[in-house]
Amino acid sequence: MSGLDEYFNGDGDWAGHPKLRFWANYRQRPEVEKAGFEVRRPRQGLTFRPAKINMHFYDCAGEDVYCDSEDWDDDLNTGLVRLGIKAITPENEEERFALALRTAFGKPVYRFGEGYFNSVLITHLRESPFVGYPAVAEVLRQVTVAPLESRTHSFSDCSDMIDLAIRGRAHELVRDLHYERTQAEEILAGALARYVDERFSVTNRRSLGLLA
Amino acid sequence: MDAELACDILLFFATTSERDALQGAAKQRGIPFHRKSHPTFDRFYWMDQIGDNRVNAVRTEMGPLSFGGSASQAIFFKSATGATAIIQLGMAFGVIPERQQPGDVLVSSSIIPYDRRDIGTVGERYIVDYSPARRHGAMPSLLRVFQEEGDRGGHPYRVYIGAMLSGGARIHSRHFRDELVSLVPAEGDEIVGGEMEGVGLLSVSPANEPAWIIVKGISDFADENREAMIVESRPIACRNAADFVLRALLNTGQT
Repeated sequence: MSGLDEYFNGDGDWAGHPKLRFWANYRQRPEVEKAGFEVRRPRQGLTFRPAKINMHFYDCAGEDVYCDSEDWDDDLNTGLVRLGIKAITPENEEERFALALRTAFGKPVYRFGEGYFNSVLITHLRESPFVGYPAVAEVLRQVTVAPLESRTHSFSDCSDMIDLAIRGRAHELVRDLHYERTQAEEILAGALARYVDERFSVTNRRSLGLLA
Repeated sequence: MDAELACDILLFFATTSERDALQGAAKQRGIPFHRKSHPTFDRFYWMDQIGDNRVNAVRTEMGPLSFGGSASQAIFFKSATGATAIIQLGMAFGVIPERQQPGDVLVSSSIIPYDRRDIGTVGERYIVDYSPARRHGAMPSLLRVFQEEGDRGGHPYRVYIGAMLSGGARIHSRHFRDELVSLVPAEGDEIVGGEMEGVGLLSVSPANEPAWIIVKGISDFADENREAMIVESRPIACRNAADFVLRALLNTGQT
């Protein structure tokens, strides 16, 4: 045993958010049976209000014992996923994972740029099994991107990064949050549809009467 | 969706000079600049694909908050076109006259909304507290594009990447300019200039997911000589900003 054990055996840096420790401790209280995650991000016209995380603590009767709130934070969300705290509804889980996908896609967006990422993302999704989910198929129908001239190393690299980001969320749904596979697939597909909808302003364009 | 309306990047400009400069820079490179009408809004300029990005240009009214200004047009056009990024082009003032020249190009690593300030009272005088005027970072993916273009070199002008003051004042005083620079919070990136439209773009995206960047040419130094200098330097400021943006976008083609 070495004096460095706590660095190698303890939680990773995802556990650093102070609210995470507070909520993890609160969950251990005897009166608390279960905790539930809720993201609130109401639509406001063509934009959204800033996202907030609400943490609900329920007693054995399912009543709210305590509810706390914090501004959305990617690390805090990751920590709550690692602690296995599910969203209060499947739809809310989709919204949560849409935000998580936005963060995860940040690396390929930065590396490859807006236009190229847009083209590769939509091409990738159109060729993926996710296109079999109605929400994804419908949103993809409403998006056009610049055509890709050829499948180059850049395409492969960008596509791989996109795939990795999606796989990471898939593993979180199954491994950390313990969703059954079928439900996890539906949540992930729903999250992808929401992400594409917002990135390419599909609902906004519909609101403006610009979609057929 | 209307094929010509859809784009990845929107270029915003506010004056006839800026439009003419963008059109000239586009023509020089064989890039289309076709005025298009649409039933829902007046006009936009279709520029086809530049590098990896489909680009459209839009003229706004001057200033961030005027009717048809950058704020309202950013929200509307970003939604209507499905664009994921906005580049604000045009003219700016420099703040380092001993180093900068008219025509040099400024790229915002962040903007400082200097109108976010508290006005208090001490005795019979008012005091201004600029501590709320915190920096808002520009879009990282676009900043990388322009940093790489700056590093490429070979431009007939200097490129300064840093924080830009943004607000509604038309400044004709070096004292006020220097006061702004010295009193807003110092947060890392050097202040390289200032302008008027960028602060309107804060309305289009949350602070932690910016969808904008500002690229402008120096037309003056916001001092007592501003009006005289602008007459001479307006064309070169507009031309150089447009040149830099189009060069950078052309170089985004993935191999």
